[in-house]
Amino acid sequence: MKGLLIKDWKLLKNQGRFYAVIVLFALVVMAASESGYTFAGYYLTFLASLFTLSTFSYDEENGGTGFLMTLPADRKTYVKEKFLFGILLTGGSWLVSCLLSAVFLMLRKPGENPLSLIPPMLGFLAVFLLLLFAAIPMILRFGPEKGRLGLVGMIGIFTLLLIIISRTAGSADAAVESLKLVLARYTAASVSVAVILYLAVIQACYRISVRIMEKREF
Amino acid sequence: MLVRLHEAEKHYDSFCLQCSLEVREGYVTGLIGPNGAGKSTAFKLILGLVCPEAGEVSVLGKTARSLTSDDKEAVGAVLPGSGFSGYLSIRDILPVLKSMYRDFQEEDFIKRCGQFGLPLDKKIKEFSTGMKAKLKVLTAVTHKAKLLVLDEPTAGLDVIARDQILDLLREYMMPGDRSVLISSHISGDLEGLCDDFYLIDSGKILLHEETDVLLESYGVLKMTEEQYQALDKEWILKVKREPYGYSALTGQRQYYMENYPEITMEKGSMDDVITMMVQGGQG
Repeated sequence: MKGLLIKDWKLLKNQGRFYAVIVLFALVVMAASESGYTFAGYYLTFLASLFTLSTFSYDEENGGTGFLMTLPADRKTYVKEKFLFGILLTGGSWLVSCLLSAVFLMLRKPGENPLSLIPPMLGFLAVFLLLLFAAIPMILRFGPEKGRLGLVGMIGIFTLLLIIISRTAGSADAAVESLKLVLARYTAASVSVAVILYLAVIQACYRISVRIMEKREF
Repeated sequence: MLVRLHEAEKHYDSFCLQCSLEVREGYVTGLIGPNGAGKSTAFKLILGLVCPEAGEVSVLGKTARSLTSDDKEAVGAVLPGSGFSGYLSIRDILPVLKSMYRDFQEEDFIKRCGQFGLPLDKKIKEFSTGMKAKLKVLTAVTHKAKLLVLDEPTAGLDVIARDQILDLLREYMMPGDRSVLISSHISGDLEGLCDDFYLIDSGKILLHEETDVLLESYGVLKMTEEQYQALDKEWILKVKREPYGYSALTGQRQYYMENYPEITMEKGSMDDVITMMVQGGQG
């Protein structure tokens, strides 16, 4: 596991210049925008999850995944490493994003509490990690290119759902209000259910990935 | 027995491998055969990269697919055209190998990289074919593996690079308890290295022989039509029609040399054996 993590880290490091440009771009956009404090939040976190997926392409290059499987690393460990690398990289980028967003907020609106950024930032982290973990089994099954297309597709569907929900919500105020009431009354329970569901989906993604990898032939 | 394939079968759309072979401790075993014969499929079965549909594949006494990470430390592998990502350098893969193999000999690895002219900081994708091949073999041999499984490790190399790799493998075998399974298109490589070899074609093993026996006892008879008709064919393995008459492969060269001194006899080589066994008909 450690060896595979080092390999992916070295791959990331070798693309350092490219990522430095991306961070710079995020800073420029945030500086230019009056209210885009959370831009780095989703931009950098999304890119980190995308880089995790691109490590599959590096591995696949010339059938390299098959070679990796001849090293002392079994198929389950390979999947485990990708999930862990995804968490570390996306989580790390998210922390950097949080810091950047907080600094920008404090500079632009000194009176505002930077902790107010936590809910949206947590939301970005949860969504991008979920998308990443859902894309991993697709990549293992269909290959890096199709898998990444799948990720973009999922983001599209997710965005579409959000738009539909927000529009429908306007025409069904009563239902939304009653849902808000229920959530407000049972906040702890709602959060617990959401977290449990979230973790269950991630675990399912992991298990499916392991099963695909164990059946895969090189 | 370090490797054992017993009636192992693997089917693809238009190809079927049905093969039995063994690699003994202290032996360098060659797997030879034309392109598409099934060599790489056999290697993949041994390395657990594909699953057999029938038969048995065992490595180091365990089913190939059930080898643990600890078991795999005792195996070094070279696969044609595949290895670490080209976006990494040798310096990048050093800590990877160090953390994967408890017996990784870092100093030796770096020293040999220098000897082989492999730069530590250059990206692997910028390496020449020969440099990539050397790196793959070096990676396989520098962690005290008990078994090497090398599929075409010398493919596309010039004579000097090939000799360097073959010397490295000879050195690897020095302790005496190690084994190598190797395939190559260049039979000369295998003649000078292998203790025994398997000839494979169309997914089937056609011949298993000790290399010394092949070089000492095998021969190719070159004869006219009349000489062929009068020939005792008991020890003839394969026959091929030629413009001058017939050529025939035998595993009893001495017998024919003594009894048919008028027939031209050529000493057997791996190339002759491959050509005759694959292209020749029954004697």
